[in-house]
Amino acid sequence: MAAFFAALFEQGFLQSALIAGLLASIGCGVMGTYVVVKRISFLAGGIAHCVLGGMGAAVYFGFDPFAGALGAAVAAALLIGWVRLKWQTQEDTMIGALWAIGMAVGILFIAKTPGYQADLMSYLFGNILLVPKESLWFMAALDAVLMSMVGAYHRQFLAVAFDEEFARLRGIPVTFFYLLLLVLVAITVVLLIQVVGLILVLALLTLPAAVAGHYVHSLSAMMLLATLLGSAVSTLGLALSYVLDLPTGPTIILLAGGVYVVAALSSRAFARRRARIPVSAAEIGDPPLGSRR
Amino acid sequence: MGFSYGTLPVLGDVSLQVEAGEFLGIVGPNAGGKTTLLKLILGLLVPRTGRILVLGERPHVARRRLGYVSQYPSFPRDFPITVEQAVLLGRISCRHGSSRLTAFVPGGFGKADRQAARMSLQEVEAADLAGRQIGSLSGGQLQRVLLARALVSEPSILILDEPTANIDLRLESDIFDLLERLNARMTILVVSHDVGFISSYVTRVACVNRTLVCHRTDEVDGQIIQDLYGEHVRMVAHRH
Repeated sequence: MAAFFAALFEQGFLQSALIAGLLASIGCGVMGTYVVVKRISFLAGGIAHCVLGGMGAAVYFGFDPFAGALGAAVAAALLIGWVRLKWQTQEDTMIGALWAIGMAVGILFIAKTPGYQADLMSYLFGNILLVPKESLWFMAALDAVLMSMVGAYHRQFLAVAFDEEFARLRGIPVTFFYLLLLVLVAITVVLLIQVVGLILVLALLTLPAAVAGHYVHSLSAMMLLATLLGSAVSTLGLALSYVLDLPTGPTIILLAGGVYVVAALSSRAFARRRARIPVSAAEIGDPPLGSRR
Repeated sequence: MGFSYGTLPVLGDVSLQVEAGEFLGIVGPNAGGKTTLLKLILGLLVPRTGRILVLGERPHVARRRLGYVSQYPSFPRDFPITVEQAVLLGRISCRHGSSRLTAFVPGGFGKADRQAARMSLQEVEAADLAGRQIGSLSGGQLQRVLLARALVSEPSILILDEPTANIDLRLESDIFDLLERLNARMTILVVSHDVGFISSYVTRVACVNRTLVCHRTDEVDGQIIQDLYGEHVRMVAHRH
């Protein structure tokens, strides 16, 4: 591990990778919290995979692939949101179809791109070690957009995430804020693709927030804890992959997955132990508050 | 006014006028259209025939001046939110007049909002629950908190769908005593399955089963209830 920190001071690409991981963690903590509490990880997965279509098209027509990714992500978010609102009965089939169609389009474009073949693997699984300096500014700008929108409209997002019917009765344009939330999720997906690629993006989007949800009980605390957890696993994953010579994206995801499994199992064991204590008391009088669901 | 889900008619030729300050009970058999009637008044559904005016406006315009407590909580019980936060959400679109852009005003809740949330939690005698997780409440506590959330916007009309369906009888009369006090400053519409119980509180009963018939509470007798449910019904007269 000491070798990693020594290299970190000398190697510019490692510093960029570390900063990219930290910038991505902000997005994953803030928007991942909404994805987890609103239970829209399937929608987020659909958005992530549609992104390949945009990247492929951008490569084919000679644009920056991440500009293509951003355009495709926002379009996919609006399309998937519209499907979810208008075709509720076939929602999962249609999102599954969009998911696959987006990828197929992307692969065809990349296959037909003449001359230099874009590195498909780095889009699918990410390559944090190759993040250029300009991309860091792009990522920082995306974080700024996310933070300012969430800062301005956290009440409306909370109302829509918590109780759509009540939000509608309070005069909140639920469809607008729901689609805006999905667009922000799409921006986060583009942010995270730089680090772990679009196949693994869903894990980084949901796992830190899901872990945080076991320990804290408000959205803002969840966002903060998930951001810290995301920073920790991306930094540690980067160090481990450097020291052990492993691909970085999968290492980060395995760490996040490990933390999630440990958190889920331990909080379940904790809940069981707590449930066992008051059984005798519950038989005598009222069940203790909080044990009723 | 009439309404149908697809080709299935739910309400036909319904006409209802509610005066300001009334305490209206809405009763009827299951699937008779009670909840549908409330959702039409709230503008969550649009009538097939006829029209509805609420406070002189179309329902989707007027609904910010309504308070609503639904029969089943329309949110996941494990959502990470405190009672105070949940009640505060009822304050959205309360300020800034009645402009449609109110819902786009950015920012958080202010001092006045927090004060209003505290007051309405006090009013339903749930002030001590403010810091609790919404998922940790009992059925009766949750019902009080949802009532506080409906009251925090200072509505002109309070609409409740089976407010006491999931709680025991002692709490049921507590809730209705509270509604009786609130009736001094707002119109109340309450759906109930229990016509005998609510008749000691409400000023008028609307019987909904595809159609709607109104009675003053002193007129409700065995024959009316039997007509409504379409079969023999046993009834206990409350003479308190």
